Amino acid sequence: MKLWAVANQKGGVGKTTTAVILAGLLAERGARVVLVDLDPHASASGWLLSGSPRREGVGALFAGADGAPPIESLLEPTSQPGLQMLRATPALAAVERRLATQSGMGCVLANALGALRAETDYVLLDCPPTLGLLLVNALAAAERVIVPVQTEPLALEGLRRMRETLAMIGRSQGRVIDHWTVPTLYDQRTRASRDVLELLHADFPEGLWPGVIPVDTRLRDASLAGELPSSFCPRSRAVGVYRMLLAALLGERPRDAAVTWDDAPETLPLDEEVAA
Amino acid sequence: MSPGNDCGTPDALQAYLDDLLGSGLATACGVTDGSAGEDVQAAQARDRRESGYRLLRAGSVKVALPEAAVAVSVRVSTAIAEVGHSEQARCWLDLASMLHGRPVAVASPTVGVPLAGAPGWGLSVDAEEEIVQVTADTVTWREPRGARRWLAGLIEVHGAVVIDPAALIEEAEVHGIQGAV
Repeated sequence: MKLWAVANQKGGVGKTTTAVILAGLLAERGARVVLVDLDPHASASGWLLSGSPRREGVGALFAGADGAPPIESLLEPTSQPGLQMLRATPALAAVERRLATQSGMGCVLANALGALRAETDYVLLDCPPTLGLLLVNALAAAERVIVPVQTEPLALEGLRRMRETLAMIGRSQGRVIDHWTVPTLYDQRTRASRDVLELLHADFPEGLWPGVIPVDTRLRDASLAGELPSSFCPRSRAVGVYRMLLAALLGERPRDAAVTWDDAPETLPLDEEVAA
Repeated sequence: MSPGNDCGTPDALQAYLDDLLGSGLATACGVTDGSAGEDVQAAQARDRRESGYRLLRAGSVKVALPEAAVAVSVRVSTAIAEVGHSEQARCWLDLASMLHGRPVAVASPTVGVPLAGAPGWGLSVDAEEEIVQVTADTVTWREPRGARRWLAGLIEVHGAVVIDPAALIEEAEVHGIQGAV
């Protein structure tokens, strides 16, 4: 079982979109996938479980050894065969407040996820944007962290903080956490996007994936429709680039292989906003 | 120390993270299937500021494996040292050959080191030496990792190369066991 966290201490960078799309693409390939929504805003849960009745979510795992239900009982199916979800509820915010300063609570999620090992190929953790109990649990459990970074100036400070956090968690655990920085929401029409991408390559080369995820309004449409982009707009440019990212994450193409805009021509038609 | 994105000094933040991962759990935090319960409890009892490493010898190279990654050590026959040979539903990676990048003569008997949290995998090495406790800052981490990502760093005081077992398994899974050599 592989455990990937999608994390950044800055909000609005495309964490949920990245987690949802990668989870959908993995399931589409036949993998058994669990997507865990750790963000009290519950965006991923709203995206994929909007029509489902409210249930207890991932917060229940933090109830303590006696009160926590088996993690298997918290899983919910999605419209994509092979993809199950552990939803976030507003109660997660209370978990964060109540337990964030309690010693030893950083490994609750890792220990609980162990029960899924036999029947799960990939677990993707959609993380909250605040450094606290939930984010630490995710980073401590993850063998790989995907850090989406919006290609706008304020995002660089968030990336710097995120990398410091990863280094510190790694020191606590005696390991180096494998992290991938993925530029997102790239709009080639704007100077800001182009400049920030240059800065990313100049100042944060380590772990930087050479591709860029373009701005794509079809992804917003997919979330409004409550559908996975891989089925709602499989030929959109963003989904095409996410497919290339996944291929790199799976080792099917070199991590540092150049990714150009023309690498995914089969995913045409281009998104109208990007092509404008 | 309160959580949040403005967490004060780096030392204070590190202390907060150490505490949250807490009381030795830092070395044991990982996805387990519960089969390594004794090891987890033992790890919890350790000083959280130190991490345990098991020193091993493979093809005349001393290596260090995070103790939390080791399930239990067993002495097994030389047969398992053949790369990819499965015994008890476990795939044994010949660490000496992987380190040297070519087949290396196998010591007899060989020590099999099953990996905790990775039920299908284990390492075959020449010998087990000792378990040492080191603080994270005495490890020189290898960044960037380069082609062989599973060579994670060096514990200079023990002259041991730190192995990242998760990366090692990933290498074997992605490229095939022969490709990892």
